[in-house]
Amino acid sequence: MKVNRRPFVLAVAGTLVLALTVVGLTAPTVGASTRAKVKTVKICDVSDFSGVQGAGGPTEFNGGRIAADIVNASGGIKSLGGAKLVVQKFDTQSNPDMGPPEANAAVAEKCTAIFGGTISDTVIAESSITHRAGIPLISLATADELIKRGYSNVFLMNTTSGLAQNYYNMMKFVASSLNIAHPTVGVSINDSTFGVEFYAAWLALNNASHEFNVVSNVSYPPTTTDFSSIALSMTSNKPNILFNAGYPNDAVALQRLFKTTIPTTAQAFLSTAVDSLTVSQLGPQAAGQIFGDKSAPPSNSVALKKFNSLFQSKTGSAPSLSAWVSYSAVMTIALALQKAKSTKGAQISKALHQVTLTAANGNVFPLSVHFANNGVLTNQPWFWLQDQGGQVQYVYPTAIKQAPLQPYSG
Amino acid sequence: MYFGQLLVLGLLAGAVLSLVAVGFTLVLGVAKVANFAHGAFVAVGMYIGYEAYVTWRLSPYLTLIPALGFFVLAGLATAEIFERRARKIGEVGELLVGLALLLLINGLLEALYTDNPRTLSGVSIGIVFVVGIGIPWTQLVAAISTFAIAGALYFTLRNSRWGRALRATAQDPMVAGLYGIRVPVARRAALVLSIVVAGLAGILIAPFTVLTPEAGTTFLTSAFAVVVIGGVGSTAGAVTAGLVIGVIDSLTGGYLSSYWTTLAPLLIILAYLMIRPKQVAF
Amino acid sequence: MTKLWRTQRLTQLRGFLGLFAVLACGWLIISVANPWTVSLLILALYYSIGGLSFNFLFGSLGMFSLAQPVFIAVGGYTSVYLYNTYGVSPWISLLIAPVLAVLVALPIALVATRIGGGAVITALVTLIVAEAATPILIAITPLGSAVGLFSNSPAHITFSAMQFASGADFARIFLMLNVLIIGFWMWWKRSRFGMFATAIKDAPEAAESAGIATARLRLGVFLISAAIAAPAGVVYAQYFLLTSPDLFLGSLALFQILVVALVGGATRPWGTLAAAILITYVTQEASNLSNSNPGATQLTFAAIFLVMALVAPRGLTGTWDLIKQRRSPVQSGGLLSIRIPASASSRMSDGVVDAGEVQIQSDTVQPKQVPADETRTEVRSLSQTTSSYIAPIVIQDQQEDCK
Repeated sequence: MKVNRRPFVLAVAGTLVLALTVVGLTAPTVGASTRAKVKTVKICDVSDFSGVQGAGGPTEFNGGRIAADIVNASGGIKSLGGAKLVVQKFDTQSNPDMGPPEANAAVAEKCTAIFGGTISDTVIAESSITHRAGIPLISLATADELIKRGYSNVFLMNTTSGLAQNYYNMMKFVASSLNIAHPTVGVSINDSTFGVEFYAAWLALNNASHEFNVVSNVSYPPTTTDFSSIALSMTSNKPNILFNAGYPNDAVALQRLFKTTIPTTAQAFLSTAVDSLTVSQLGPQAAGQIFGDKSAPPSNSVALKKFNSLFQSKTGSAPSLSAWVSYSAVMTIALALQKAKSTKGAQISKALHQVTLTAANGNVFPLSVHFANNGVLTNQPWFWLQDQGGQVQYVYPTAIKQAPLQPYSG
Repeated sequence: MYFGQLLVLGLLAGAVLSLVAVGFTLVLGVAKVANFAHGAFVAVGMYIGYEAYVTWRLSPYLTLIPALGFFVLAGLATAEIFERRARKIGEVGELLVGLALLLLINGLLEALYTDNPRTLSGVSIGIVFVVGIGIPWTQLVAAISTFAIAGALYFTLRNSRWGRALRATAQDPMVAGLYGIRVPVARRAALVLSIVVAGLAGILIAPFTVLTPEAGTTFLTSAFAVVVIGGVGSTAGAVTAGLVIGVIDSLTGGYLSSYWTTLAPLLIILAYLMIRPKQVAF
Repeated sequence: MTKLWRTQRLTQLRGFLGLFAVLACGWLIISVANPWTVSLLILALYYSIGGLSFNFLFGSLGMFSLAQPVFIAVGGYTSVYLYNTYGVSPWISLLIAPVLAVLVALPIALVATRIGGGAVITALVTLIVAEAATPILIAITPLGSAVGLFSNSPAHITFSAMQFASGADFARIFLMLNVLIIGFWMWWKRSRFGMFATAIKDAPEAAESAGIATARLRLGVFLISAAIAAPAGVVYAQYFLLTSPDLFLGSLALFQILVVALVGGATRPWGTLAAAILITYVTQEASNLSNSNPGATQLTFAAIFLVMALVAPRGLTGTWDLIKQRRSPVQSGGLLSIRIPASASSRMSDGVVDAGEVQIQSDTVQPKQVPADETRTEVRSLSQTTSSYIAPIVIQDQQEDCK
């Protein structure tokens, strides 16, 4: 009876070897720091450095890193014996599935706080891990779910509802400054978590105050590349204001269509367009578009100038909003560490609710910011700009206005 | 005239779809290869057009002839991979290789251009107003080229000796071989031709499209649908089905909500398959 | 003939012992590994189930179905919806979800099996179906439309709600699911149904004329592969505490399953699991190596994948088979066995069998993979040479021992 045992043994051995290799090569280096005094404090940037959202990761990381450098240059965290800040990055590859492993890796690397991340699903998954580990998470994602769960250690720069409020306020400004009596709105919605939540929040605000009349409403799948029929549908009932609850890429496509193929009489077009992207790509075709996020906060603070020059010299390019935001996140964490006098997650989270970032301690935005009880940043930095004949000007809020709002068409 | 506008937009979008699908159906019919990387070559064409405009300040149309050479080479290289390695293993090998190529090209494009959308904003040869919407001439040129290329392919396949050889290979490779047709050469030719058409399509649509690396994959899935309805290997079928799907997409996008935009064409395909399943076999 | 039967049974036992060893090793590793490795293992084991579902179908019938993510999504939505609305424990959903997946798969299977035309057309059709699933899900508002459903599972640990202190327990559940599925597949291969499926795959007309209910078996295999995929979604949704169209039906999800399945190879069940672990590991390494430049990770991974596609296109198991084949000495002749389905052998007269009904198998020579219509030619030529080569031929009847 010939029974060849070899394949069987090989199979088991192979599985063992494979599994042990995985374990061995992915285990973190052993070497616990059991020092009495804390010499370095690690802050982790868990974000997308590759894949679809990968372009934003490095900017975010650099912003945080420069914040750490600034803190270290002025003596580190004094209440922890001058401990230096170290920022380490973890790549979630624009894939929500990678949220838990990278968050676990960050926890394994003894991070005292985690910041970063823009994809809602990824950050939601991370929040479960950080909640269990008890360390604070400051994120750029806006999903309302992160607040609904009531985790005391999750901090958001903004929520989708907050974003919707910003847009609603802007639309009211548009109606009043362009003297539109009964403003009508034509809406298009990106059928993704963000788009649906964003529009739902806006609609809730409108249903409460009935300022706007929605005359056309079309939704499209996130994978849409041809927006012609959507643009046509948005303009079909001749609304005063065009509103796209979607992503910056959608806005670029729509803006182009409105300026070439689908003429419109609307007086304003609001979207999540980012001016640095749209203006560089569309050139003269970007005229009239309104942007809600910008390359330079309109503030002359010393801290801003310092940060901008450091960023330019260390990375060779100008910073953007995500850089300022991650800078603010790390600065706030540093303040919290200073106040908490400890590296324990729970203490830092508590301190994060108590500190305020002001012009005196490094705030780059016009207004002081701090985290409210529900973990959302108050006085969120949000400014509106418009491309006016090739030049981008601030148009709202009134305090930082550079030029009056111009109507979209014409 | 809302309907009219949607119709025109749909026909234009459909023309682009047809162009992409024509190459795909050709290679599927003749070489029996589902080239997963087909959409990726369209994306490459798009970015070539972009580079030409942005870096060398040339109109993308000027790059059509040199790009032809580039895509012939690319096609030959791809055909080599498919014929040498993939063929030996059967269908799975070809699918694997096609998938790997798609990944590679996508990765390359992403590494070079990231995911930020690009547009060729200045390429404009004027706008013509039809039924109240402004159609850029670049789009019309693309649509006309679709019919020109598809027509040329159709007549070549029908009348020339070469074309008949390709059709014979599509129908029955073994018998074609018995008649002296060099089947591997025919297969390679089909693949090269399809890649050339894909690349040129990319250049043609670059002026009026928003470029992202994923665009390739979107074209692939649409091409699948067109091929299934239009019939594998049929040029005329690909053009007709492309136009039909383009119009349906446009109408559903204009009148119904989001899920219908994706769902309606798919339902039609499924219904079609239920009614005439054997037509699809090749 | 009992010798052959005994060898087969021993091989089967060997296989199950190996499987048990894998279970034990996996359990041990999960218990000692750090949380990051465990979360990577969870991913690998999760993708592995998707790949197994795909490869089960592909290996048994040669059908290329890209609709597997839909069935996983059914699992995910079932567990979260039932828990949120009715408080049904996810453990029970593990049993309910496969049933629902089968119901969802039924129309897809009917369409896919009615269409001829080989693996490619089936691939296209199932891809179209998978694309349709997202808009359908979005349209069903109670299921959360585009946002999806967040699981109301309590934040603390409850076994009944499938919430655990660490990822390790989730990894164990996934491991057990994998082992169960691999065990099932191993049993299937040796069972009557497995043999029939192979017959349908290699010579469909022959199988038909031999009396095998091809249509029903095709349908059945497709439905089973759907049922296999569903539990993965049930557990993953509880791990993620979220179910949404993007999570299960995004292009990334489909791609992961496809790559794992193709790299694993469809000939042997363990290949998919090994491939899943390998690919998860390779992706991590690629991410580290490329220093996280956007696009560079995908490029590295794509390059590795292309090399693999060119060098070992049959996947891990296919290459394993090939190596095994090459290592055994090749003799001219060797043990050649001709399999005749039971119903045909009873119609045999004078030892003459209709060539179409015959399956040739050999220990030493790997049969060339030829399309079905050419099988007849092959057999004809073979029978011409073997007609003068009577001694080494062993005729083995599938259903009963030779008398």
